[in-house]
Amino acid sequence: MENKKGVSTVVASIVIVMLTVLVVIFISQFIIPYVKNNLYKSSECLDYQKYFSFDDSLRYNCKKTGTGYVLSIKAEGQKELEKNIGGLKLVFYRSGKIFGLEVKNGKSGNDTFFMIDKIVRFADIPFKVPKTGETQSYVYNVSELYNKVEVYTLLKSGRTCEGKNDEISLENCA
Amino acid sequence: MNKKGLSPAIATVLLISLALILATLIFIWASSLIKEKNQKFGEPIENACDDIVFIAEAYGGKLHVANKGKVPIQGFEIKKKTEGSIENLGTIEETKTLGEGESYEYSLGDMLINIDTTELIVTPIIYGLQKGQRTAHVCDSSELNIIAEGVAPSLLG
Repeated sequence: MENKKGVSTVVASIVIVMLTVLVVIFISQFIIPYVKNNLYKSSECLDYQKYFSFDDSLRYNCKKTGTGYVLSIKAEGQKELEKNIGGLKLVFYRSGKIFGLEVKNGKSGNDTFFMIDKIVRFADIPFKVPKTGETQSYVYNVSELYNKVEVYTLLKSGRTCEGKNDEISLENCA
Repeated sequence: MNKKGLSPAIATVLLISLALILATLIFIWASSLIKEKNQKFGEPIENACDDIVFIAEAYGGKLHVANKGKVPIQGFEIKKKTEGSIENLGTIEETKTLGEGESYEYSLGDMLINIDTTELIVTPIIYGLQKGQRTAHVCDSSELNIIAEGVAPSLLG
């Protein structure tokens, strides 16, 4: 008779059970957190696709002679979304040039980009990002002519959400 | 030949159980992704917002409101409108619901102190049902622009 050697069924079962336990531990400790993290990263911007928009109710969003571009940005959506907002980004387009400006709470303006309060109230205040339901206006005082501007969401995590929230064509104010 | 294996009946039961467990897991996972919408009168609450009709005036430190529509109003969000900005002043919510044809005076408290404008935006708040819970909804589509009287322009800013 052929001399057959091997592990007993009991040992084999124990080895398989241990292997299964090890695989479960590995999946729960490494795979699940990794997938969760990536899922969060891929979905954290979903709720902010339409968070900021250009607000026409203040009759700006155009180029004012001598002042520059005056843009009014409104924040809309659920109040709880506010806690993850780090700011907003304005991206200006003209043929052959794209230029981005960031607005973050407390950040100081400069000679070319500032809050509208510097003109209407002669108060050079730091930037304010609109809270949910609010609108804030910003001035970008440059001589270059831009065709359009887009607004993007900046999250507190430091990420700029890729999808634009809104865009408008830039023209001279009436 | 000595054949060993599961009987067809047990194999079928196992397969069906596995399918049921998988379906339950997927349902639980998927339902957590879908957010239930806030509803009123069995419709999305935004539809009820479109039916809100009210008039409002602000004087004597109070907001005087009359509900001219059929949708009960629970409170108001007050914003100030200046040249270049619209900012929240606060929310007034009373236990009293402002029903059809009713009017009420809401105290504005300290909202009008130290504000640099007289132009206010009044936005009604209504209640809907979301996951069986009463949930407030701000009806941005029904906001009303009013001038607050009694805020002396000479004291502004």
